[in-house]
Amino acid sequence: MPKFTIDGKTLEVAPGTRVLEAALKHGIHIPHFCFHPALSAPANCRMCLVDVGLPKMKPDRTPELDAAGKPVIAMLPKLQTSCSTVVSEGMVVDTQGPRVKQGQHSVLEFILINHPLDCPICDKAGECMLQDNYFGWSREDSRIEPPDKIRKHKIVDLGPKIVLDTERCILCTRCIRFYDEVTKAPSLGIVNRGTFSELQVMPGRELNGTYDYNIVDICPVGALTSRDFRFRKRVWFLKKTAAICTHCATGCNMTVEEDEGRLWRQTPRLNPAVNGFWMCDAGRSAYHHTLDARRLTQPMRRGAGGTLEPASWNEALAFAAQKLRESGAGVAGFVSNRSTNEELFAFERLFAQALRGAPVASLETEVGILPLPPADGLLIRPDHNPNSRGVREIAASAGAWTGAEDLLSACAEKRIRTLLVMDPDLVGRSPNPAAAEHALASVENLIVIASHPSAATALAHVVLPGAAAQEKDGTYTRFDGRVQRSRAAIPPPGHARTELEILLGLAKMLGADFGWTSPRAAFTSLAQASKFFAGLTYDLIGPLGAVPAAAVAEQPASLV
Amino acid sequence: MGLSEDLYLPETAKALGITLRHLVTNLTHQSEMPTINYPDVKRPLNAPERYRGRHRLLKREDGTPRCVACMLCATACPAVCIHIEAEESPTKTIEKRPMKFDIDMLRCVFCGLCVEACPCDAIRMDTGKYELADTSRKSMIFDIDTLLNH
Amino acid sequence: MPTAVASPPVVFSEAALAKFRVLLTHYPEKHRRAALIPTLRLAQREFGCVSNEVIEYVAGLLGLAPVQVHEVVGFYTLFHREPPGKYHLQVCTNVSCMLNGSQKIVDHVCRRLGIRPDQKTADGKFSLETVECLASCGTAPVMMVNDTYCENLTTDAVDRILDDPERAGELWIPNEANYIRRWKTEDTLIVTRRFNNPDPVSLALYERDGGNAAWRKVLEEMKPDEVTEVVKQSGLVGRGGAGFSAGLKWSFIDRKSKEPHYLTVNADEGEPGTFKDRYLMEQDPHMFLEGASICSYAIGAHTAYVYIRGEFGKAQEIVQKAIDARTAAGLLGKNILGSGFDLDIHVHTGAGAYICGEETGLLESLEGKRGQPRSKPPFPAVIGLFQGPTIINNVETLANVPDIIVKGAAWFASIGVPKNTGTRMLTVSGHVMKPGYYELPLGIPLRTLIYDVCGGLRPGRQLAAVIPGGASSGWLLPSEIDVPMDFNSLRAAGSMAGSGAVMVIDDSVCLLKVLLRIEEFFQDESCGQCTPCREGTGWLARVLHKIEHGEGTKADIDLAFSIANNMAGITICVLSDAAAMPMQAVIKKFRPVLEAHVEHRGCPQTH
Repeated sequence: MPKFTIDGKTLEVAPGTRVLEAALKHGIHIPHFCFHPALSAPANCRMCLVDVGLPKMKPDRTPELDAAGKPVIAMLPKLQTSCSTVVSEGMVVDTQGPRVKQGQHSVLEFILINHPLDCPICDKAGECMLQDNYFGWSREDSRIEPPDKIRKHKIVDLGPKIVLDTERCILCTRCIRFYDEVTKAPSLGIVNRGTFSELQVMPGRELNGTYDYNIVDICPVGALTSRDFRFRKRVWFLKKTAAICTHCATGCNMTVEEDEGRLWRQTPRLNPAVNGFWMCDAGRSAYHHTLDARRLTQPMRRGAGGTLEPASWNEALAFAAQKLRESGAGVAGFVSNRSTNEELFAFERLFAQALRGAPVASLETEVGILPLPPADGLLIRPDHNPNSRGVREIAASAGAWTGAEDLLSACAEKRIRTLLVMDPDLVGRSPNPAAAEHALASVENLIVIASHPSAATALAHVVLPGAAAQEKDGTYTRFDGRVQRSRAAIPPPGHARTELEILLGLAKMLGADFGWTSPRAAFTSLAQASKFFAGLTYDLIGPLGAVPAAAVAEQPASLV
Repeated sequence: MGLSEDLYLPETAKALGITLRHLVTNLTHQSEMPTINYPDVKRPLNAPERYRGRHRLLKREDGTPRCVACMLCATACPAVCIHIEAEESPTKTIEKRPMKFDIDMLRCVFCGLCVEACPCDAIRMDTGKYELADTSRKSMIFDIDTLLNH
Repeated sequence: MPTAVASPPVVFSEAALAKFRVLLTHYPEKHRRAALIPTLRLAQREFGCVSNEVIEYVAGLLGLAPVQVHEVVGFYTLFHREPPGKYHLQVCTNVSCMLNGSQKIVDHVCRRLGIRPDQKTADGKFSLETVECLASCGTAPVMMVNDTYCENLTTDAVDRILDDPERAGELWIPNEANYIRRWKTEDTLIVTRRFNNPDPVSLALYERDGGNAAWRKVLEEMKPDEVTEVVKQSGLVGRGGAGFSAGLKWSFIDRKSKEPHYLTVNADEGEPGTFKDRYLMEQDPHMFLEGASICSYAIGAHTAYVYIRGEFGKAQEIVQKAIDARTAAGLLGKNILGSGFDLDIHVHTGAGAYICGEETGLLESLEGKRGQPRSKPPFPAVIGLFQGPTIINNVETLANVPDIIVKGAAWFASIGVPKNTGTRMLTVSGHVMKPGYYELPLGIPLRTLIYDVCGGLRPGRQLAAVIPGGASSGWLLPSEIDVPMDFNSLRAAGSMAGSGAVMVIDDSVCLLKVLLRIEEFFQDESCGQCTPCREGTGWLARVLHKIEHGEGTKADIDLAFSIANNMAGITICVLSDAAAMPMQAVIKKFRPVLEAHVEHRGCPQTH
């Protein structure tokens, strides 16, 4: 394990580590553009220049020592790019000396001379590496007049999702390398030479794949911007929340960004064990589903005339509780693999404690609520739901749940008088939607908890408006057993409430007290009740999730 | 206190005398009175060059707003009274322009930081207008049309 | 993969397909991308241009994504995206041609055809392009008509060619510079001794003169390490420009690697002012091929590529014929002369990019990509072509090897000066009476070269400046021309020997115009990969343009100097340093010329 000294600090690193990687990992920030930890390092931006010295070797290959017994260091005659320099034993690196500063000033000046004065209209402002590196390592005045800058193509549609501005492009090739190395479908290239170089797609083709928005994330400047986010919000207004994507069983870690209570975009959050630096476009864009204007925001009760009418929470919950209590053995419940572990646990507790162990079922389906590109071995999995594993494990600890088909048959045969459904679209996601609809229609008292209207809510006698994924706190168990925490970024709209609050409200009406009211406390209780979740806590789960002891053997290889 | 003051009435007469003297002077020298019948008569403002009055949004030579919706003014504003929504400009060389540009004049503290923040000299507070009173809260939210054209 | 738009299919003829299949056999199967550039040139000949449809077709043939082919096409200047005229005229405007009146030629063509550069005549017969150095500087001014070189141009010659372009190759008049110029008949000639060769491809002629004796000796009597040692002892340094010890370079080949070893011969001759390798290939291909064979043996390579720039159509043809002759005679192929050693040599064409003369730029181009140089380390001798250990040598360097083997290292070391042994082909052009290529011992003083060997300046003219080693070298003042023409002396004088290209400039031309032309050349040829070179070459050219046109200030002169200084030392390859050196030399030695342009608000020179 070679040891080297950087700015006076001695570090030991794994063989083959580059100076830049080592520096960044240890909090020494060397400015750079084209380097990205998940991609190859072409060393073309020249921003990461440092001064490197190596121990002088005697002919017998041992280091020459000075009077004090320290190795004599011979500095290399030229500055070196730290992204391409592999650490060797005894190497000395200086990132602060005047020659390094001069090199950094020169490189920044060269990048900026033809860079357009677009900051006021560029979406990248505020999260732009060029702005950051300029203010951190240059701040020199420009020596070129704007009319002398080279003009190139602006507002180029590379497809429906990405807008390219080739004047802003600094030709770092991160986007090209993303397609070459990550998706393995080369889609971008550079044409022309020298100062006239330009990024292009093949004429006649466009970018319209599964992972295109990732190049917007990794573009260090505003050359590649998202059509979806274009001009919507300045990024410094956005408040960020760590969350989990709920559209397939991968559970990509993401950041939800909101301002003034409204969602503006979602971006991937680094998790080396789950999604690396990436997310698929469908999952990232799914916040539009949460913005849907048809959201349920008001509890409803079906009145005497047969139409759903607004009710207060008290009225709705009281009515629901009453029907649940009255129906004796004719009570049942449906949960879904889209709920959080805490919601599933609360539902299970409700039925076990307050409803004398009435049957609970869950649709075993891979159908989600949004269309997704096919599973591709990169990030997208065939199961389009975030918590199928959680359902299995919680059902196991509850002593197994009923099969969904059996329960639907019981409904159709009118053996179930009151059914509590917590599923976004029980009918649409069923293998036999017509049968499911008939079954639900046969229930005397159908109580549905949902965030969006569906065939089930249209049949319901009580509609309890729930929260979308970005509006609640909770954990999901992904396919390999890792438990990940998603936090609420915004409150549910209108009068809607989180599912956990709704279930606790029902419990209270039914006279049951679980002994906890928060998601954190719910999880603690779950960990005590379940062998699978035993030993886990929110603190242990942290920002990157935690793997229960029972699932350690299943972990896939790291993506980064 | 002296006897004259103790007796109260002589002092009252003296005070009334002052008042009467002013009344007569004002009636006979009306043109020298400082009071004016505002708002029928208004004094010129004679404001210094940097006087911060009502805002205006400036236009380019072709009549389109100079503003490119960079939102620096909204960011700088300490009263959080500027709300801007952007859209594509039909002029490709300009790219971005404001679709909505609201200033809530009830929140504005007239600090002028928005003017300082603007990179395009698109907003100024140099209208010299200070008469902003109105009869509804809603009317005090100036929209882009008001700021550009009135 | 991004979605495609339907387009009419484009397909090779049977003949072209057959040629394509032969091309594929030249490269390892898992590196078939290397066939891309030769295939694109084949496609351009077949279809007239490389349109988007052609790109999609070629991509399909080689299993590449279309954008990968598109970006290669966009890098090289010999590819046309739209059909050019039936006769595409490429007039060189680089330094030596500029010094010899290329602008007059361009203007004349424009006047006769009624078009400007980058335009086509209405009837589609002619199109015109101004290009960079065509490696024919001794016979400047020069243009190509399709693949044919037309040299020693005058406006009369241009008229004859435009009247009968099909016979363009016969309508210009050669002079002595088209053949080897000798200084003294008693000079030792190594690489040019067979020049004015009546049959360059003939093995019989070659061997009658002692050719191939070295190859046979090496195969029968010598081990690879012995060969390397002999070449090291001879003191032979690279003739391509870097001047690094050839034998030492060969010894760096990584013997531990499991990948095949390769030799690539650098015949990309693009340094302005250089025109030796072209004649070496046309006049005596067997000599450098023999040297290449010996080098391959020494480094353990069984495949060698001769990377010849795309403009050298004639050289490519002759070299291929020579290779075929050697293969037929059992000097190449399997189990050569019963020695058990296998070797194949293939010709690989470039497509118009100066940066492919840089050794790792050459490797990238050979592998079928944009010719963008690689970071070093790792050096090609460790990881080179197709990830295998590779040696890259210049044509002239290899041409010296057979004689070294036969006559011995000591003999070679006795010629020239210590540490810079042997002879070299100096190519002299510009304002001298006898431009051309001369094979001379290393160390001859520059003054002797200009005045004695090349007949001095034109009558009535004074010497203004000398560029001693190609466009990248620092200019010399008339007071500095006593410097010996060897690598060490020129380096000590703050310049470099480079490719041996000497350009002599007299007082008839504005020096700033010459400098501007050189910086425009670097702007054209920068590959664009790394920031300082990409932006610096463009910026430098624009600032100089301002000064040259009389719109510059004193501050602009300092700015130009600052740009050049900032470009040096921080890039992947040395093109950036090469662009900086002439600027730095001019500021240091010819600053008054720049200041005069500022004061006179334009060029003060009257012609």
